[in-house]
Amino acid sequence: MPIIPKPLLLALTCCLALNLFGEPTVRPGDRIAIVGNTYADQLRIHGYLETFLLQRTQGKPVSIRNLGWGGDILTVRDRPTNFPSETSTLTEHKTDLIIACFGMGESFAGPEGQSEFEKNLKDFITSHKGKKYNGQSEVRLAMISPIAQEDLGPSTPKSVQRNRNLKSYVESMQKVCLEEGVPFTDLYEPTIYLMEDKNAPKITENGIRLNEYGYWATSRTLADSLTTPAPSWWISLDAKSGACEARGVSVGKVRTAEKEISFQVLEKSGPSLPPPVSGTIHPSLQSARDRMIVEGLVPGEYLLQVDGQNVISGSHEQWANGLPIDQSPAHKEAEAFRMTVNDKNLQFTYSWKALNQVHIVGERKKSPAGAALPEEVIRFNELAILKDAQLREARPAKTREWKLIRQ
Amino acid sequence: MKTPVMKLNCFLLPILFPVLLLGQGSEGISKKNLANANLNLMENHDPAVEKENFDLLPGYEVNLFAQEPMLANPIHMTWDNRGRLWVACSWAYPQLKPGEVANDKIIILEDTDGDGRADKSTVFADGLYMPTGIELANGGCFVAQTPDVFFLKDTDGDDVADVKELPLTGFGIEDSHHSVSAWRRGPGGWIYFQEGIFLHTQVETAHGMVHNYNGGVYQYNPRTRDLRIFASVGVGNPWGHVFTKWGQSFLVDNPRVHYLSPATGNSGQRVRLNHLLSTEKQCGGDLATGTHLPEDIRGQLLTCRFKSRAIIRYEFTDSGAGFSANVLPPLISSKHPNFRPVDCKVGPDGAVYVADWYNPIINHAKHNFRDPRRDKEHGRIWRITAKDRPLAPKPKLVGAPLTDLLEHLKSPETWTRHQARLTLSELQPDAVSQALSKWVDGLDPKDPEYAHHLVEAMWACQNVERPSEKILKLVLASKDGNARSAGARIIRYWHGDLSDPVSLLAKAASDPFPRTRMEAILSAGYVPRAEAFSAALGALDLPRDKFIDLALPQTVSALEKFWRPALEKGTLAFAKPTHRAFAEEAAGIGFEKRLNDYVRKKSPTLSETNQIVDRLIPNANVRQARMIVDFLTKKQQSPEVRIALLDALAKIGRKGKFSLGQRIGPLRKLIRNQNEEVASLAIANLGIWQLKGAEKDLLSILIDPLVPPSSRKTAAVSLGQLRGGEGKNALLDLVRKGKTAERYFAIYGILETSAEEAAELAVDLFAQDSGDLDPVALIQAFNRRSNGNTVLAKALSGKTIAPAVKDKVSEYHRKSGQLSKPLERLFRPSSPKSLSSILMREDRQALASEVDRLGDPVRGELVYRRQALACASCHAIGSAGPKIGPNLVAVGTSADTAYVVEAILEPNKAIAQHYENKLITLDDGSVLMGSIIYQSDKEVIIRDSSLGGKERKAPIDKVRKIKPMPSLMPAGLADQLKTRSEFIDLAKFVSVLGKPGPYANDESPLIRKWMVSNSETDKPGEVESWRGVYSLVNGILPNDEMGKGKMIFARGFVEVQAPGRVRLKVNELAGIRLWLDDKEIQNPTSDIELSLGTRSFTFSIDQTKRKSEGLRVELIALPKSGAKFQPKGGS
Repeated sequence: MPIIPKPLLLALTCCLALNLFGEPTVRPGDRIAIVGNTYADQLRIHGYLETFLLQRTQGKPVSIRNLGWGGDILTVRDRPTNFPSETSTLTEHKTDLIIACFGMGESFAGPEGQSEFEKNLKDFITSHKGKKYNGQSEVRLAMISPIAQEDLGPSTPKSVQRNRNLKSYVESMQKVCLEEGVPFTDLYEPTIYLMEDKNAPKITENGIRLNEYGYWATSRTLADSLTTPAPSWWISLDAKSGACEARGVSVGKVRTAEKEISFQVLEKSGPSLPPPVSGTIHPSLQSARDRMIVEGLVPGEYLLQVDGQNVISGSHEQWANGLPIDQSPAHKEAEAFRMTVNDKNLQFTYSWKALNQVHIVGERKKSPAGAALPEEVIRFNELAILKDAQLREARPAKTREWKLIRQ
Repeated sequence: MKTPVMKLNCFLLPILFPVLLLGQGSEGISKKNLANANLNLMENHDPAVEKENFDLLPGYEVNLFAQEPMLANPIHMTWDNRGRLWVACSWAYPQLKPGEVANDKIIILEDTDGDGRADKSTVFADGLYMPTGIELANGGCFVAQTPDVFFLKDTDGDDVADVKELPLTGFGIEDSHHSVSAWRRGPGGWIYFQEGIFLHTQVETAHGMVHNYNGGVYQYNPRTRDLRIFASVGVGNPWGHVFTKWGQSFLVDNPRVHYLSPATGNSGQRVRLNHLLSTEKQCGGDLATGTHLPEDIRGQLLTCRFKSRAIIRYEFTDSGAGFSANVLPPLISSKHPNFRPVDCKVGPDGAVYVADWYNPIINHAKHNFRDPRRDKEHGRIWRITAKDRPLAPKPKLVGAPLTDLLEHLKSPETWTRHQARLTLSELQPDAVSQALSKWVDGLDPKDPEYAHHLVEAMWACQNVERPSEKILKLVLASKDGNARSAGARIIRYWHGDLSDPVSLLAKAASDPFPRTRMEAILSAGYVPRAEAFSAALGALDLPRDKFIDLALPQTVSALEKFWRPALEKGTLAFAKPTHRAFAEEAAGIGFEKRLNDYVRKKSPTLSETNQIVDRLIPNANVRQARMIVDFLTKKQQSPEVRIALLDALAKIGRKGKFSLGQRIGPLRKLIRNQNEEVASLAIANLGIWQLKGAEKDLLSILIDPLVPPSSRKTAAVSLGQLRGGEGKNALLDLVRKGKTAERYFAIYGILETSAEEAAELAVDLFAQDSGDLDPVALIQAFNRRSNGNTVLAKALSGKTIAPAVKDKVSEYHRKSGQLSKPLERLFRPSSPKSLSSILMREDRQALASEVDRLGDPVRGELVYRRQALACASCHAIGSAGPKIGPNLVAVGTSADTAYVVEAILEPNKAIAQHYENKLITLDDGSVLMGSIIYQSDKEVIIRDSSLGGKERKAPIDKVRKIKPMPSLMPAGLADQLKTRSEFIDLAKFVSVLGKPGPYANDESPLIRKWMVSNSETDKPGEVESWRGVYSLVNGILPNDEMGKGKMIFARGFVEVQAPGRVRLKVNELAGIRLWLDDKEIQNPTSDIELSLGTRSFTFSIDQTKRKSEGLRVELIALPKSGAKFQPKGGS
């Protein structure tokens, strides 16, 4: 069994604690809107969380619209003049669940601003109470905390003080959410843990905004807090006996020969998305990758093939320790799926957050120059809906032929 | 070109044309300006042909540096330290279509063999979506692509970006043609960029949140990733920003040019910036620098007029702490319809490189986003060199030893110094800092450029984030004030590392060089200590000017949280009692004493009075108000002082916080004052303060025909305001029994208590000819009350209005656009056939085509100038005319004819940015109407068209609501025309404005704004009444518009910025005499010495002796005379 690192465990337990009495925060078929700050906005660029949520709601998939807006704080959420109200967009999407990300911009107000922040957070929660954006049931909320601040030298001043403030803002959020019965995910603890590893890649662009690797690194924690946790694939095989244990997949028809072990793998759950960096990653995140351990191999070099495609090779010792499986056909399909998620989000962005809003809703709405734009915005939205439908198509679990071949 | 039409042989087009017009789609895309453009040229994409059509200043030549397919649609350029040109190119402009994939590019152009032509083009990055600005730093390239700013970097040496980071996101997306753009690395290594009107920005950075709305200038430190607002100024389309040799900022914000530095304080509040010049829209640009360009052009701003296809030049002249500016003839201009300069930069060889967007149509506001003529295939870079002058040597910077790089800081080439700093910024900071310290020790203090070398060393330190107190002190001790001003600027960045920043500030704040004082004041605002405030006040001991006066309040406000508590505790020390007095005044301390001193004065000055009333109005108590009342009549005071005091008293009284009791005596003494305004204000105060016993006085004034109408009107209003209704009975009595004039006035009073009643009474009045009475003023009075116009319209509905009243009111509407729609309809003169409605029913394209083919601009200009049409009472053409409507100087180059036709017929369809008419209702129920020209979190300022474009202010906290109104440009304008062909001519005239030819924007220093008089005297000094007339576009003041008479005087004014000799170029000398100010110039064509300030040229004209159609006067600066001047324009 891989060891779940402590912070992940912490995060898991704390969100589990909030959800003990009910269903997971995200339910199959949910129509979800993500709102909030730059963290929320950039979720759409990387698509990790959304891919996870779609994988885990197979059969009755969720539909997500990202309404995040760079720099949003609870009380200042500037929009173009006459931009559609949040309520109207939430209603248009028939939203069942709002995932809200706040607290980063607010935390700059420091300890003096904290009680105000708590009040504003409560007001925010209250403002959605009893609202039926889907026309039937009261909207549910889930709250995501800000991440910690990564120390990048002169470009991230006062990191220690900033993290103290961030931590206590996150505690405030947790407190308010507990009082209001809103599921809460703490991203501060898991990110500060990752940030402390100075040998691993940086997880932020500017100290307070995750980079692609950072979004990847936190996506499983976040997905686990929002849905029933699903572990990564894990296959442990004894080359001699053919005995096998697995998680996330089921393994059958194991055949061992001198130069080759072959077996069938039924992909019961979606594969884990490969990390977006080559080379070292945080050791604690190895468990977030799919993995195969093969013990008892005759010394030598072994190549894993899945459905005839090369995936990874390693020595018998490396296989005995376990190797990450990131590039199997299932993984490539999952990456392609993530690209479709991103494209759906891009088309939605081109529609909802189109450039030249002055011509669409704003000050120059009447100007004949931009007359074509409102219609085009609708067409972009149609493209987004089309892509969304594509994402929600059934993807039956596949069985593939795996072979470990001695070189 | 994608459209099949465009691919047809141009000879076929005239035949096909009518067919095409009929077959046009519902989008209303206009193809007509093919008809009057040079069709051959528009379809001829041969660069050689484009080149033939350039006009250059004498002594310059142009060659093609790069063209498609090396690049297309260039937006912005920057140079790297290897002498390669980086160009941001956008195919996606103006907006991606559904289904398209964004693939805009950053392209690197290189001239490897030094022949002045690019021979290598590399795609550094693709997949972008409208990159609006690029700048190099940190070994890579920052790219603005709103809402994002990317950082792209090549790490493996193939010149293709393989790293893409997102340093910033959250910039405004509302209008891509002025989203974050015109990037430029400043001397200290910060990168500067701008954003325009309508945009909302909110950016999360590790240094804090940055919020901005409605435009401003940013600065971003690529090393510390600190994003700040450099200048919080409301700018519309800020498309260019340059730095002088000494680090001063000029901003191109079309159509204006600003001196930006004084607006860069730390108050965090909006700063209202007055422009140096307002001309025509332009973007990008650079200062002309380096040894290759001739001396006479150096230091001038070169910026791109994409509408009229020219690179224009501006010269700047020191003026106190700031500058004044003049516009000069273009460096290059083109008749080719597709030449669209959008950026120009001096290159490593000293030549001027011009990015040519190459497109028959340009920005997206005036042309349809989906206009098929948008060119997506072409783009050019032109290179302008001075003939027979050596090119600048191209330095080797990459990989050069540190000592060589430092020597390059001495280069006379701005390009080289800039790139040397950029190169240094990427070396090891401590090594650079140590080397710089040694380098300055080795500089020769006798070198004439010594001060500048020190400044360069200081900037180099800033580029590696290593503050050097030693170098800063050398800079601040320099003999050159420009250097000291650069030193004073840097204190705002370095104060945390300086041993005693406050004493450095104190010294700089009392520097003999005014710009150093201004910079010290601004920097003080960034030093978070009360003492920094006292230090800045050293500037009070020396003369102040408008630039220093713009800077000072920003710092007062920035540091208030530090100085106020210290001042109140008594712990803050001041160098002089006058400084303490200033601080106390800013803090509102000691006002009581100052007021006591003030009322003991015999004859206080207006500025003393203004200082008192500014403080008094917001916080006056009853005792202070009474002191002012008593003071009004006590001493012999100037009318101006009395007016200021009475006005303040009225403002205090309107708040209704307390009563003056029986203090009527002093005011009563003034109600028949010989100064009309004093009298009127005194009368107004009687009503505002509801003073008992005023009825009789007010009534006697109201019915006295010898009293000026303004006073009578005010008396009626005051009567209406009196408590208890006694005044109202008298007013109603007058309406019933009085003479027509009295009835008119009485209604003003009744309006005070009941708009409905007043409206009912006005109905009867409007049924009769008003004679010489003014129904417009009465309409205005209704307009000024919230709902007043609705009530009036309701009362008038279905009633008869006398034709003469209709004429007066509708003419007012044409000039001001102030009538509500229902009122406009009620007062519209009935005409059997409305030309407007006939024209509106016609096919817009066919009409536009008729304008293009048959319109006569000469006749059109005369129609335009006709009083009854009132075009010229709102619009200026170039420097001549008021600012109420958009300047029409180059409208023909950006708007097609259909747009012009539409704008005249249906002004509400597309209202130009900044000219939206707004109705602002204030807490007290009064209203303001006009276009908002400035808005901050404190106040809003509008330009009121009913007052000839006068600015009116309202505090934001008093504004109840702001409501959009119909365009100020009235509909139904065409009804004032006699014939359909007059309309065709008028539209033609407007549609050719700015196009090459007789209606091009001619910015030669011509006198275009004249005061004329036909007095019987023969000396201009004795002329009594003048009236304003503008010259025609061709510069001629027409004889017909000078009036009749034996002797006519025409006077123009010239603002002289630098004295020197000039000569006048007069179209015809017969029958004229000339005076410069009061002195007659015997020979009008002799050399004339102009001294600093405003000078007047007055001509007497004997029309019987003249053959020409009018008078045209141009000023010519004599070579080397040093004279700099600008004829005065405006309204």
